[in-house]
Amino acid sequence: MSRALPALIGLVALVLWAALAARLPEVLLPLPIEVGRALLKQGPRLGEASLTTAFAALTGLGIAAVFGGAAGVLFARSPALERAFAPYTLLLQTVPVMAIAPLLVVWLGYGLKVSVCTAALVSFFPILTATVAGLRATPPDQLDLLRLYGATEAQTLWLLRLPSAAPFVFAGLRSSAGLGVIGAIVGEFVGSNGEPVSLGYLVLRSARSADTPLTFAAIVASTALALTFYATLRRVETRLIGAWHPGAS
Amino acid sequence: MAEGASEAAPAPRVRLDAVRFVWPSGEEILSGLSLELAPGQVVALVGRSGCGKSTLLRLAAGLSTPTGGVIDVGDARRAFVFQRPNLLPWRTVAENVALPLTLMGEQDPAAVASALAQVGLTDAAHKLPQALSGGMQMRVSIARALVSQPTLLLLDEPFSAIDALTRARLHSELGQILDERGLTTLLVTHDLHEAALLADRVIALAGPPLRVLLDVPVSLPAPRGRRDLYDPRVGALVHQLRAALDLDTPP
Amino acid sequence: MRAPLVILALSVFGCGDAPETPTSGPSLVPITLALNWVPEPEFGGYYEGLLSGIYKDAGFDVTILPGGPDAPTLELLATGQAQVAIAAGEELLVRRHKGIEAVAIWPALQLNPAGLMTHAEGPKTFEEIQGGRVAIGVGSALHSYLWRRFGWEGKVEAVPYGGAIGPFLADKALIQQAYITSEPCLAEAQGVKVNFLRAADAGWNPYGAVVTVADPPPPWAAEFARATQRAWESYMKDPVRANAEIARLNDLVSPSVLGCVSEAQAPFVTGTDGLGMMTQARWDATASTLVELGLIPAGSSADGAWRLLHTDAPAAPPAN
Repeated sequence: MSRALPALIGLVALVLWAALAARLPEVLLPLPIEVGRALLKQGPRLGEASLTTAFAALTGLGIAAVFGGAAGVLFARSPALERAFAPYTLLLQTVPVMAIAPLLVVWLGYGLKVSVCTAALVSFFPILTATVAGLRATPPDQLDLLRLYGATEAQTLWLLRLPSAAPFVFAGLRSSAGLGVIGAIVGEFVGSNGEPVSLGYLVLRSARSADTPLTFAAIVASTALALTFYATLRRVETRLIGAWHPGAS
Repeated sequence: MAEGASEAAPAPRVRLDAVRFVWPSGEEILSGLSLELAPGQVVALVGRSGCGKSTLLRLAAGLSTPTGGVIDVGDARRAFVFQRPNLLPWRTVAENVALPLTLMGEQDPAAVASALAQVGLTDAAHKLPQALSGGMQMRVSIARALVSQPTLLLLDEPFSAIDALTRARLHSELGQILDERGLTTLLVTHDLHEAALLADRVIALAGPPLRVLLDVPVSLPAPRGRRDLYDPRVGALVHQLRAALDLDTPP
Repeated sequence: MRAPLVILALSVFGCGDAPETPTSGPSLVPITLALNWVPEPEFGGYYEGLLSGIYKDAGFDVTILPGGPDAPTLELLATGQAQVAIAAGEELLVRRHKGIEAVAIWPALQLNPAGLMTHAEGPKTFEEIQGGRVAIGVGSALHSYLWRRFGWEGKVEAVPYGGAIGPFLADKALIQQAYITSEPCLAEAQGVKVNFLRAADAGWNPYGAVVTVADPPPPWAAEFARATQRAWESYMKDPVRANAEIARLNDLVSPSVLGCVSEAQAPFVTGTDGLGMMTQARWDATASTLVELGLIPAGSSADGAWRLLHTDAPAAPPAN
């Protein structure tokens, strides 16, 4: 029965949506069937756009993971360093990506670079914070154990701190998975040149030409993309650490 | 007492000389304690919670640095058994046991197998720690302590978190291991019976700052592995220790 | 939640009682007027109507809602969040076919002021543009028209125009969408010389901006059209007061920009038919262009999309 509940809620939502949409112009709220039709008709184009956005989001995520992880290791090691950079990390974290994006276009030019950059920017902080937290949460007894046998800093990092931090890091990655997709799309709103076509570009274009079913279809596609990222990440997490860390849902 | 198995390394003489330990907050745990352990001796430290006996053990292990005085363990290879099993959850039992060797850059599967055999966990070699019971995890911890062929073994209330039945069995197993290897051993425990069963010498402590209330040899002659809880001499020793520690009076 | 219902309710309560000035009149019709760009001199007449009291005297309590790139003014009209929406002529036709019931009652910009802006050394005609990149409202009718007309599909990149000329200033090769009344003057104020390629010269000439209300027009619509006509006449005579307010709201509009814009704007407001006129011919041409571009269904026309209300004689107090 509990398996059926999400489907049931979805069904109810769909019915409500259709009822509301029937009373409004299509350009405000299209009928579910119109969105479905757009998904079918524009399937290949949506697929191509999804791949582009996926690429930008994944690349951005990768960059964020590398830099966020490295910075996390450094900051966990040196609270002084963390304090020194604190105002700037805070600044970067709170400036809205939408405001930075036009600047990125001026610096980087139109194209994938902008959306990779915006994806990386929004994914960076969850990963950084999670890495620092994870590295700082190493149980003191285990640190004692390694110290007893004369472990070097490098050994302690590699054999203890990093594996111990892995659950935290994965939690950060899970947040970043969805954020990365959003970040890429925001970048595409400002910096996409349509070659190749991306989800952000499609949303922009379809909204402008009042093709609201396509706008909704693109939104459905981006949601599916984010969910795929998330699910894949969960799989990887279970594979890598699931044996010893039963993850929360 | 049996000699150490195959190693020719002599059991070290451990010496604490006027050792002081003061926390940054100013609390003084040790204010000049002196102690000497004979080679191969198994010494139990007993006392109320918080008196400082664990601090003393950590100092002996080199996990903490004394504020003053000298701790001399010669060239002893030290091993420590913690109060909790302290296993790394992402490593298998065998990998956990091998950790000291890995840290020293060595690989010795035979030593790992032998240590596991000694605690009777050969079949669990490829399991992860959470698949084992508390008692079995503690055994793994002991195997890990033994794998590096230590000459000084330090144990910090190793069985305090174990249920009574398992504890009894672990006493007997540890006793046998200590018999076979002849390691100089420092055992911190709050269990007076455990002290009587396993040690050659029991030191009753009070503090902070730590001071010796009683320092007595254990007169039971039988091998530790087969000492009997119900032997009247155990009861007498325990009674003596209780009196020294003033355990029947509330703190 | 249907706009006509809202407007009907408003007119029941707030119906203007003829042109007499109710200075303490409790029955001013509240009007939210949604602009389809940021405050600029192209909207001067509305600000003049507000500041001079012309709208108030006519019985309207007007609030001007500034917009920006992609401002959904017709959607705001449809949901009742605005009672008057400024929109481009072609946008109105497209959205009418998507179910938004709106009608144009006054032409704000007669000649279409849209076009492309290039750097001085760049292309001076549309035909010279053979490749490269244009910043434009991606998906707009102008986008479709230009690419079709000059065969730019696959040759010229269309990138989103975010409403700021920063990227254009930074990149000598970039071409961007522009209104004669806006971007070229802003660029020159930054010391950058530009060429302006008029879309009208390439055959694109829908009404540049129209004042729209819900369809069928509410009872106050004719009076509003008349008041708007008076407001723009006043602005064309003396734009100083309204321009000062616009400059206050938009700090990119400096005095030098204002001078440049006023000069460029006048002919676009009055057009060739005179202030406030709309013709069937113009609307039909726009409709057929849109049909060609596939933006509205074949066989569609502009019938019903526009009404000239301000030329009607002032009506008797409307029946409620």
